[in-house]
Amino acid sequence: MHVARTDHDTFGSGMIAWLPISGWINIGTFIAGGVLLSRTILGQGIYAVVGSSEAARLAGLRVNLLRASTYLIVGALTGLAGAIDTSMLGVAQTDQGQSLTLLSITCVILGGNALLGGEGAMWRTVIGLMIVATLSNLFDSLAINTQVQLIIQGVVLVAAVSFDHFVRSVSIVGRKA
Amino acid sequence: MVDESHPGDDALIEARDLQRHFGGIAALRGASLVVRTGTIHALVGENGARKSTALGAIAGRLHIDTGSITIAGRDATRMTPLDTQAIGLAANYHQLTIIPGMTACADVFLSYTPVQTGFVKSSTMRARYRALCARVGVSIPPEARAGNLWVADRQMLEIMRAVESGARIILFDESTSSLVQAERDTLFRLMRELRANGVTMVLVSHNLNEVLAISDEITVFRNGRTVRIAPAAEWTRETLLAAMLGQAAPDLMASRRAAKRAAGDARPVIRIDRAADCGASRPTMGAARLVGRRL
Repeated sequence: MHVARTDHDTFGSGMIAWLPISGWINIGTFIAGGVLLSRTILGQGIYAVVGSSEAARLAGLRVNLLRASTYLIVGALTGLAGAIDTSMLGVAQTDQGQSLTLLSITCVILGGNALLGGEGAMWRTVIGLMIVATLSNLFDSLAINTQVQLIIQGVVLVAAVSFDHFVRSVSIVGRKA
Repeated sequence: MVDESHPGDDALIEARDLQRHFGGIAALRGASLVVRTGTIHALVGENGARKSTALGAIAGRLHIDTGSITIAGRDATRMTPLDTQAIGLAANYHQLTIIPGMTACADVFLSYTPVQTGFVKSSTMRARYRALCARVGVSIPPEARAGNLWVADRQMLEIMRAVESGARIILFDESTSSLVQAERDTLFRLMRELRANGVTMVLVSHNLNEVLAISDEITVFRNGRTVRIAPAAEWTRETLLAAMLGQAAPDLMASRRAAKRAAGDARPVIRIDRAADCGASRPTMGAARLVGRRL
């Protein structure tokens, strides 16, 4: 589907000061998400439910409410990302953004967040995003085929998950004598 | 032979005729538990006696098929952990409920996080955490990842969570199982302090000596049924064992004495020489038995 409105691309490609509007939205989302996760009772609840929903239930947390809130927030942010993507491309398709799923998971895991959730931080995702963006630019400048890029992304993801699993399995805090 | 001569009118928890099936297996088969206000009530029984199932039902972790549970005069038969918490009950479950990915400090305050307009008051939380650590005699760094702590430290975090909750009823389900003697002593000191402040506690433990030393009343479960409820003064280690196992205590003691006599003549069943040379970097040996049973 082609978007006919001429100002539709403003959302994805328009500039405010020296940064695209989508960049400002990105920064704002990271800051808001970071504060929500690390400083609010909702963020603590989300970490707890994803870390162990049964333990959270036994601790008296409203697990279903926290789950619903999380899906609501993630759904809203996914919609926002879709709107930006559509605006940047100028077209909208039902299967648009499929490759973004692997890309976004790679950013999250590469930054050091747990694959199954429950621990991590927003700043880690920012670092993961920077690494992935740098790699992506490098691949583009080297004119590497898109399919090969996807394979490399998958390999990087597997390596990051393996490293994460190894680090978590060997790290034990010694107790007092 | 359920002795219900001691429940009294000041019962804070009354669980009557609890029945619960897991699939086709009958777990609780009419068990009852009556806990008086301001007492430490021990619940003992063999493994599989369904002590934890009964505590889980009282705390709202699971629901019973039939029977009734009343806490502080309120029907708690169908309550959830959130509901029982709201009426002042905190539970330490046998299976630890520490969230591994959270910090020790956040885990302790998970249910009672100090907040101001939705934001966590981190400095207040850390100050209270340090005070709590000093009170229970542990030194777990507040920012340590809970999942990286040893089991005993995680158990202490659970105990700290229950103490910090300010609950008027606390259920300790084998909370001493991973603790060393000094930590057990600290916990018992804490329990006595809490009792003096009017807190009612239920303790599940396999250590009969500590049960006899700390509790005011003791209930014995066997195969999902209540065998007897009586004041601690009316129990001895032998009568407790006999009630738990369904055998006369003198027989048990005789078999133990016979085993001790035989031990002098017996040849070793297992012998390990030069364990350090067996190839493993940290050789470990374990032996276990059911309390009251011969190995």
